[in-house]
Amino acid sequence: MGKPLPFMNRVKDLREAAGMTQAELAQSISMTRQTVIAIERGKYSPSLEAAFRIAQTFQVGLEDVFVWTGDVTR
Amino acid sequence: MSFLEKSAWITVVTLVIVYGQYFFWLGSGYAAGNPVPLEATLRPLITTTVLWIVTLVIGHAVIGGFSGRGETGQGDERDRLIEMKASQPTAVVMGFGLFGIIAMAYAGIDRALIVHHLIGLQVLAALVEFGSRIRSYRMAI
Repeated sequence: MGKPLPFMNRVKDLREAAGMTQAELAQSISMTRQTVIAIERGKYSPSLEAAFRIAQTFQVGLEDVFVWTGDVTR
Repeated sequence: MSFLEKSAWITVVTLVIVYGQYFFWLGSGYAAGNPVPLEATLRPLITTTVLWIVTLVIGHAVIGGFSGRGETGQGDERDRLIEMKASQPTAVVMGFGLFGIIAMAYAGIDRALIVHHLIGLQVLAALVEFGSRIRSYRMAI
């Protein structure tokens, strides 16, 4: 968990574009605000289920939210 | 700071203060060369444990009052991951601690000292567990 995650996310951009607060997003995906903060900072890797819930909240595809930047072979 | 992080802080602080006093009292007796007999420690131990539970309940009631609307102690997947990670160092402490106490028993160490070490191990394991949780929360993982 200490090393950087092999993907980046656009959660903060999408949330701000949707005019949502971190607390509102957290409530819509059944998570705590602290977890949303950790995801936005790239400190926490959400589960696949949570990732889908985030994407559905913004009504976009999964790859519009999460972009793989790491080495696929590792 | 989430409810669960505040809860971990309260657990650590109350453990240190309440059980710290108990072990300081026990240690003073040993340091003075006049240890308290095991039977005489039962009542203070029960009092200490009840006091700890009461301070925990009061502490959680206070943080519950200050928590945001809709925030519960249930947590989410990240909280569960943090709990799981914290159980690893706790298991190591318990494993080595129990091994040491078993060795003390075979070495014929005083029964009272073994009991005190067992209680101390429980407290230490709880401190490691909740301390690890706080560390993970502080690192914002």
